[in-house]
This record gives sequence, structure tokens and C-alpha cells, in this order.
Amino acid sequence: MEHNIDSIYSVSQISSYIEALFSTDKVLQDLWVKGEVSNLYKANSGHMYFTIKDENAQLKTVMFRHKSHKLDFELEDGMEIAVHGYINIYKVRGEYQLYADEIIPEGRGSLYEAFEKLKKELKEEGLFEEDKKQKIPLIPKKIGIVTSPTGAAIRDMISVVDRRFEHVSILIIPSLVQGDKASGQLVEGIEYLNKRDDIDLIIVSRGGGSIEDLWPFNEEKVARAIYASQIPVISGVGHETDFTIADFVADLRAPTPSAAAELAIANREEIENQLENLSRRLLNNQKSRLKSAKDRLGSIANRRIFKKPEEMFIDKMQRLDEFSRELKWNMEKLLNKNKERFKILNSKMETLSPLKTIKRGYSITYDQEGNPITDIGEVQKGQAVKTNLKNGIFTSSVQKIEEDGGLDE
Amino acid sequence: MSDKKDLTFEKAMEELEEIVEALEEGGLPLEESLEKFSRGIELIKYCNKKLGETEKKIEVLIKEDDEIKDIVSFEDEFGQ
Repeated sequence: MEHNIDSIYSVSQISSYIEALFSTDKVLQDLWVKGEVSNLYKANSGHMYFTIKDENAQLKTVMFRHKSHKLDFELEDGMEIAVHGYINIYKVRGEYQLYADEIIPEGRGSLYEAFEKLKKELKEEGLFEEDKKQKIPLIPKKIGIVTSPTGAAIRDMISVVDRRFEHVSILIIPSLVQGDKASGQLVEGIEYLNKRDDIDLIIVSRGGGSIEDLWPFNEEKVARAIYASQIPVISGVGHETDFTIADFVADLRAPTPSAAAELAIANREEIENQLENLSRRLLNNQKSRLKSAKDRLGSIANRRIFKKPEEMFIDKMQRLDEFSRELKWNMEKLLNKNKERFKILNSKMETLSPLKTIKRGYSITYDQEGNPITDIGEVQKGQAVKTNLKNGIFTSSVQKIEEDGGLDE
Repeated sequence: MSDKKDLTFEKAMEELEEIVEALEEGGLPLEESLEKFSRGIELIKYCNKKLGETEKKIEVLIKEDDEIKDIVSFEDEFGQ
């Protein structure tokens, strides 16, 4: 058997190679494993090391402090659990192990299932839809809080109200917030507040706890009561990381009880500022509007036409005078011109009149129809013609026609 | 809320905002802008009234055998 020395890996190299293989595997990177806890070791660092096993196999598991401190129960040897996380190798020991980020004790699995099932059902039914959510009033006058009167949650909420705000009333409806009877009391509380006519806003709330503690807020009847409420509902249940069905169906989800109180009244300061801002803008706008209108009026009033209105008419009157003078002058001119023309025409008429010619000793000869004969071609031999003299008319007949001998050449 | 003309604080704020925006945009005839202005003043008065008329009271409902018995001061009942 031959060996190529170049193909020999170091342990670190091959470990890194395996690590890379694991970390690209989809199943290994995101999985749930169930089994029994054994060899549990809780280090001072807060990390937890244990093995999960069944009849035939075991799996080393580690849960680091930043995850383990969030567990809401004590992990113990012998517990049946389901663990979520990813599997990779621990190169120092050459072992593979489960890096856990969540642990659910046996029995809780069914709660999670019930939660997911109800969540899915209600979602499909439309109970979580954004357009079904009611608006939180800007300035609630009276808030109804359904919660335990003795829990930390109500204290937190009251201290928020005390600190921030003096203009709100609160009516607390005591209710159990864990155990079998809690959901019924929560529903009653919500329904009771809806029957009153002085409540603007409802908060349903409890402090942090395990999923079992929070369970009433995951029950369908509570969800339906919140959905049916005519008054807007804010939910403030558990810690930031806890999500309940009540949170999904509420008009507004607050991460904690005190956050619920903040959200209910936080608007106030903002609203007061906004109102002040709007008032200022309204007044300023009107001031500047009036000022500019006044300025404009002033500048118009200062114009000549308003100061010396007669000027407008003086101009026109002057123009009118000018017009009439011009008109008169033109008429005269026209008349004079025509008079002159008439004179000339008259004298022309006189000079050109055939009577005048006749008076000077000439005669005019007419044909029988009375047309003056001016061309030799108009007469025929033997034709009778009339001749007009200054003191009489005679008729003669044409004896001879000579074309030549006239005045034309 | 059962106010005259169904005016609510929310509606009043909304209307006020619209008025201010319309006025700031300009272009309204003077008379109309005066009308809007006086409506705006009315709304501001209304909102201020609403903001002032709430009082602080923390009470708790007392039930006995599922019957509502009383409403009392929370501090008197549960305060330490």
C-alpha cells in the first residue's frame, strides 16, 4: 500500500473539515431532540452540561449561560425534555455535541402544540388582522385594568401612572391570572368593563411566569373576549420574550405590564406638544396672513388712482376735447375741399358745354334720332340731318361725302 | 364619547391638523381662511378642555361570591 505524504492531514485540519460538514447540514443546524436528562453539571459560570439519552443512545449537550438563565424551571437529572439547538463537534475532545438554546420539559410539548394550533386557527379566522384592531384613544380618561390586585403587575402599572401622569382614572377589576379559574375571570372582567359607559381603554395584564402560569392568556375564550371588546384592549403579559394568544388578538401588545401602562398614557405628553404646536402654527399663519393682506391693501390704497381719482377723468376729458376739435376741423376741411372742387367743375362744365360753343358761332349736326354726328362714317348720301345753330335749327340732306378734308390730318 | 356633533378628541386633532396645513399651504381666499382660523380656535379650545377634564382616581372593584359589591379606592383596599 502506497501513501502519498501530501494527503496526510493534521488532526486539526480534519476536525475543521468535519466541523465545516456539520455546519452546512440543514438537519444538524436546527433540530429538536427529546430524551432523558442525565449527568447534569451546572458550572459556576452558569453554563450547563448534560447528556440526553434514550434506551440505545446518548448525546452530549451543552447550554451556555446566556440561554440557560432564561429557563423558567429547574433542570434536573431524570427529567424528560425536548431540546432545541444545533449539533457540531467539540474539537478539543473530538466529540460531537448538541448546543442547546431552548429546553421544554415533557408535558409542555402539548401546551406548545395547543398554543400553535389555536394561534393558527384564530389567525385563519382573521382575529389577528391589523384592520380589525381598534385605535388606542389619544387621551383615555378611565382605564379598566383586568389583573390580579395583589400581583407585581398592578404595582408596576400604578407606579408608571403615578410618575407620568395625573389625568387618568383607573378601575381595577380583580381577576385570577393563573390556574383553571383565571380565564373565566379575565373574560368576566373584560365583559363587565364593556357594560360600563365610562371606560376608554382596557388593559389585561399579569407579570412574568412559566408558560403554565401564563396559560390563561393563551385560552380561546380570553382571545374571543378581547376580540369582541368594543373598547380597545392593550395586552401586557409576562416578559418581553413571552408571546401569548392574548397579545396577538389585542389591539396593541405591550411587552410588559409597565409598558402597557406607558403605552396607554404615553400619548398624553406628545399630544399636548402637538396641540401646542398646531395652535402656534395656526396663530402665526393667521398673523402673517393678516399682515400680508394689510400690506397689500396699503399698497393698493397708495396708488394714484385712489389718491387723485380726478386725474383719471381729466385725461379722458382732455382727450374728448381733442377729439371734438379734430372732428370739427376735419369736417371744415372736407367742406372747403368740396366747395373748391364744385367751383372748378362748374367752370369746367361751362367751358365744355356745347351751348357755349354754339354761342361762339359753331353748329352741331344731329341724325334723325337726335344723336350728334361726330364722325363722317355716321352719314350716308341723301340722309336727312338736323343742324343746330345759336338762333335756330334747319334740316338738310347730305349731297356729297368726302372722307378727306376733315380736321383730322 | 357623546359630544355634540359627535366630535371626539381624536377627530378634533385631525381636523385641526388639516386646517393648519390648508392655511399654511396658502391660496385660500381671505374670507375662507378667516373661517378656518376661527374653526381652528374652536377646536383648540375643545381639545384643551378635553385634556383638562380628566381626573385621577385609582379604584378597585370589590366582588363577593361573584357579585359586584362595591367600588373602592385601591390604596384603601390593597395599599400597604
